[in-house]
Amino acid sequence: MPPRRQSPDEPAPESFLPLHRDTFHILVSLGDRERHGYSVMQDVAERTNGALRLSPSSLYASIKRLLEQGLIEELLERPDPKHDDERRRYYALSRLGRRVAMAEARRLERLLADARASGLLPKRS
Amino acid sequence: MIQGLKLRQPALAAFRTLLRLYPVEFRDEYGREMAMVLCDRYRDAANSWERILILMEAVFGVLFHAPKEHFRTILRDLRYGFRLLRKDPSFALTAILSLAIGIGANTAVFAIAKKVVFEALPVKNPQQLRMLTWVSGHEQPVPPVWGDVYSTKEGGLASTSFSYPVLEELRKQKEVFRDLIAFKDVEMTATVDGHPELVSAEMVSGNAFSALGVQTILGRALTPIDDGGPGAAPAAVISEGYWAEKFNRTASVLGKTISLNGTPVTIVGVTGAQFTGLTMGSTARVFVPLTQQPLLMPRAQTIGANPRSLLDNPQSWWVLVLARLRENVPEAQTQAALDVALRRATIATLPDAKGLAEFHLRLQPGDRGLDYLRTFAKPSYVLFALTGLVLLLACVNVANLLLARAVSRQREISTRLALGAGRASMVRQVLMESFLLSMTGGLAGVLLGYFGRNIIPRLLTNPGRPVNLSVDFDWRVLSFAVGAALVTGAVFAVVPLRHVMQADVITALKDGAHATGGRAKAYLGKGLVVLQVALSTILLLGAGLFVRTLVNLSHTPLGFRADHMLLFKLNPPRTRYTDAQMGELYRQIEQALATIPGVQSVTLSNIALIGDGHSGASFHVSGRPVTKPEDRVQKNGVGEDFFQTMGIPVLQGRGFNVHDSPRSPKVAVVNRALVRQYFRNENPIGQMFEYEDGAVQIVGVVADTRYADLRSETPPTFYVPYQQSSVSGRMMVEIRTATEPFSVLSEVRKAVESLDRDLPLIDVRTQEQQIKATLSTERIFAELSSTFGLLALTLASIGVYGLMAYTVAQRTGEIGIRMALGARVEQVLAGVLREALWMALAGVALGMGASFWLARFIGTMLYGLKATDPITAVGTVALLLGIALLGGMGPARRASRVDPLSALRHE
Repeated sequence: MPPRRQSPDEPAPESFLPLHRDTFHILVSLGDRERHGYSVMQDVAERTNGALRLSPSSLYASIKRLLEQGLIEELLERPDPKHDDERRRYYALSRLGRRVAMAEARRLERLLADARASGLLPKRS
Repeated sequence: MIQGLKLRQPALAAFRTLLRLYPVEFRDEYGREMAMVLCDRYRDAANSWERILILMEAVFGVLFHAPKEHFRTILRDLRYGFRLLRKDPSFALTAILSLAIGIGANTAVFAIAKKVVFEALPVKNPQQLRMLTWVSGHEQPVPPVWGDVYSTKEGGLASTSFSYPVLEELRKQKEVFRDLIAFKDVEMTATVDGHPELVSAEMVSGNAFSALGVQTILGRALTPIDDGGPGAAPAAVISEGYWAEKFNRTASVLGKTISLNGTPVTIVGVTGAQFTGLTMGSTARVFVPLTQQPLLMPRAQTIGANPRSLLDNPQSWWVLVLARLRENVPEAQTQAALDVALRRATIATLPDAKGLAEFHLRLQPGDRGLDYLRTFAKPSYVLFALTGLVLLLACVNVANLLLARAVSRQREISTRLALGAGRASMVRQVLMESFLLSMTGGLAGVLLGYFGRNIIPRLLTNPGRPVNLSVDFDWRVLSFAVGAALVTGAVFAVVPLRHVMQADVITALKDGAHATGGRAKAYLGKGLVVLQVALSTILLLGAGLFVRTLVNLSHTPLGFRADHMLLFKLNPPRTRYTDAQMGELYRQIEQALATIPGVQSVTLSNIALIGDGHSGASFHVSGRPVTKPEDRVQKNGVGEDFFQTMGIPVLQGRGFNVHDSPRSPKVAVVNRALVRQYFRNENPIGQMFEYEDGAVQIVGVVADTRYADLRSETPPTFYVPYQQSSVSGRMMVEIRTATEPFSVLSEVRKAVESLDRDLPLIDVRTQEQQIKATLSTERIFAELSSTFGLLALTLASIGVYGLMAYTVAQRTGEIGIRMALGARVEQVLAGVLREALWMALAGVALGMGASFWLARFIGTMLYGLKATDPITAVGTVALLLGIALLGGMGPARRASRVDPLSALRHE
């Protein structure tokens, strides 16, 4: 796939790599839908079988930085007003955030491929 | 579950409290969410164990992340500050430069003051040391002292010199002190590998090194065993500096023999670099046992026919004594016990001593040993005050710049406030900017101070007699600079801070960049300019006073011709010369030097005129009643060509000539001041008087000359041929040359070497240099205060200009209206100038008032004028008003060129 053309004022996704572990997990959990903070936390805990437990402090420190870097955005509207606690704030991946997350995923994929090629991991059947 | 619910509320409350550790913006933005997330997790936890885990995680998370957030915020503010400074480089440069000058000057002066006033001897527990001092009434109870006797505030006398027999008696009071350390600072001719050189040395008691806790880095220290006296083989310990300079830091220096005043001594050790003796202001190179004095530094003793050693002579008071106090004995008890011992010993050894009723021992602080630097304490304080003013001025200047900038940033601040930026964050932002400015200024200042640190001591000390004032930059100096920078930043941050605190969103946005709080701000701006002018007045007035003092002193009539004179000292060691041999040596030197081409005449004297100290003698006119206390006048033993060589006119009778030999009748020449005091209505010629060396006849009267310094009136002085008086050892040689004085130096050196290869020429200089050296303090004050004054003037004129330009820009509309209504150009011009003048006048008045109050502290430093000198005051006022008018002129002209139509249209 040819690299997508980026807008002139948008930084190259590669300039963010490698991502911090917490950051990548947050981006991944926002990959399928918008979530509020606790939902991100739950999703990460579930996907890692409880191995990665974000504390409120580390979660919001990351969120603040991701917002500043423009990798995520805060939603002004509530996605699901019925089930929503109106005090909660929801976050979504920005266009740049999505590209950064994809770039990181590809980087990890390549790393994995290298590990396989060198015999560290069994070759994929 | 019930237990969990019970715990939930207090745990959450505690967590919310903990959130206060975060920067306020972060807390406002995410605090509530974080608490909610914690709540959710707590609720969803499977059991109490997990709940505890969750709480702990949350707590540690905050403790870990909150400092990080603070750090990020500070970093961001700093980056923002940098961007602002970069956007306005002329502002940044002016501000940083003025701060750098202020902080740099203060840092340099602090580094000096630290050495001159605060620093203690580098020995163990210096605060336990006391300098033994005797005090007396008006009458000096003990014989003439080798050392300083000074007057006390109560009108009595005091000295730190004791006789050796008295010292030995004091030593017996062991129970009231831990140690008594005896020492004497001297100069000796040290010959290393055949090269003679005069070095500072200290004779110390054998216990000195162990009692002071001073270690050697090589070999051993002197010990009480070295006190064996002249019989023992003389041992010497050298300083680290001397070791490096003369022996290239080789270990083979131990056991090496060098000669001190012609006597071989063996080097047994090297002290650490820190320790340079017990004398503040001189660097001892060699330490020898005090008990070797008769061998190394024999001195003429006038008691009986046989020369005696100082060690058993109760008539000579010369030893300096430091006592180390015992922790468990009160100081008063030590002083009382030593006082009793001193009085008893004095009476026992000096049965004829008078005035003993008021003769007592005092313990003075000894943490600085013998402190020659104390004389620099007052100049250091005055310098500190001057540089303090400069720093204050720099602060005011930066505050003024920041004010002007705050005005132009009004809109930005209001906009940011309107967009929801917290006032607290704005305050932090402003503080960070000030911090950035002051720290950059401080850094530049430290660099300036570092490079300038040796300039002031060099100006301050006498080239003829170098004072050891090595100024080192250590952590104390650095922390001073950082402290000064922080305080400075805090001071000038007040202005923009006030601005942020008072900024009003609505009016600011409505009114645009101009005119918000215009009146208050104008007052503040005017106040700052007035303060600048006032500070400049103080500095300029001080500069005027110091410069005129220097000029007055430089133009003081000397009473002799100082041009074309080469001076140097000779100090033939008594170990190699008897009195008779020394007299003969000097006579030969006089003759040899006189034959050198380019030398017009040669003479010798005990002391040089101006800057070589005093040399007192008793004085009693024969046949008159004996006065008590005895009269003392100044005495100078001189060569036969002294008056002719120095160009001192002989007013009456004759000067000395070749017939005044050791065997002819003793004669003297007196100066006018002596005649005025003792022979007011008599002819002094032919009169007899007596002094320590016996009776002499006055054969001539010479004109008065300045004597020890330029400030003092000429003291009554008599001159005797040195061949007819007791030999003092060292002599000053004065050579009048036809051309530049140094042109004959190499020939002079050769001539002296031909008579004694081991005799160094000491302190070679011209008479003019000698005089100039005595003015070093005055010169440094004149130079530094002029520099500071000029700086102040520049800053003040920038201040006036800036404020007037701003005022005119603000009032363009008003001026336009007035001109449209018929105001003439001159009226507008005059209006602006009047305002500038008023500010200057207010500042000058304020500054004058402060100066006259401050003047009391420098009164004694001035010469030939008072601190309230009208000429200096008028000059200062005129200069400042002129500068203010000049500063106001540009803006005034701009105002007068305002085109009414365009101004109104703009409005």
